[in-house]
Amino acid sequence: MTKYHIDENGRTILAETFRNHEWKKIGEWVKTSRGMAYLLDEKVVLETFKSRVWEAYYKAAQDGFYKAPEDGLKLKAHRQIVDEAGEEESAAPSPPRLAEFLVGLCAGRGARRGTQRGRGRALADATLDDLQDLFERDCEKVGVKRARMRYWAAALRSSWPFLRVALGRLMAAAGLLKVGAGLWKFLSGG
Amino acid sequence: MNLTQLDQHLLMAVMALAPNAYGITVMEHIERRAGYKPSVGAVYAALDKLEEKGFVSSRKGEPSKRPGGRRKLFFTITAPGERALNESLRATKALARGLRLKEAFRPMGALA
Repeated sequence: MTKYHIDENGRTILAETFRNHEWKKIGEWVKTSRGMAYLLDEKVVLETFKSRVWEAYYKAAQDGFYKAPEDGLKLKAHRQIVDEAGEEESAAPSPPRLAEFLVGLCAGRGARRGTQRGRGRALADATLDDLQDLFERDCEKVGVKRARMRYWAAALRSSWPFLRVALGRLMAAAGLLKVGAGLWKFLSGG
Repeated sequence: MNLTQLDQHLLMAVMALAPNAYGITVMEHIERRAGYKPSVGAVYAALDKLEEKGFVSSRKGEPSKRPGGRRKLFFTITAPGERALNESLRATKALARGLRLKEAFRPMGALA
């Protein structure tokens, strides 16, 4: 769960970013027509749309820190954005499970059959971990929806080389079978 | 000892990035230096093949902090790998020698 806190002098609300776990300013203690209040920074919220900072913003808003902007419309807009984000991004974004499964399957099958046990699993893990890193970067840059689309593209591109190795092995086995069958036919005089 | 162009690039990237050569860093290094971006899967499949030939070796990294704790694979070039790369680059250079390419790569100041 993402955290937020108010800095020592009480002027700034900070939230932990999704990827680097750095603290980023999301709101400030400002003077409004109704007195001093914490006003959450809409620009920051829009910039980090659908990233985990949203959760902190949402939590801060629930705790009442969004109160007292001058006009009600702005407050309503804030509320709406917060609600949408809260519905969609209550948990940390995760890459598409089916794409992960596909990559895991292909990488597991496409690994060389060496003496090392669990080689396929190690390759699949390394590939999936790298794809997850790229996904998290994309979440920060372009939002979760587009990051998921990019993940699918990367997963399909990454599956093909492993699939080709697996298919090559299958073809070789089929070729051997064919040669074996021919030899058997020759030896048995058929 | 045939190396494909991707094999050459991977071996050079692994050499340059040691000891931090894994899928993404290798992929980005090739993108920066060679101008194309292989997929993560292509990098690992090719490195796996090179490891089978004994040209690189791999070690598992620490499990990541995410749920599930997957491990990265870090690659380093071996002595036979360096020899194979050297031979392959020498062959490429020998083949290119004497060719009149439209955009010849010359060291800076060579025309002066």
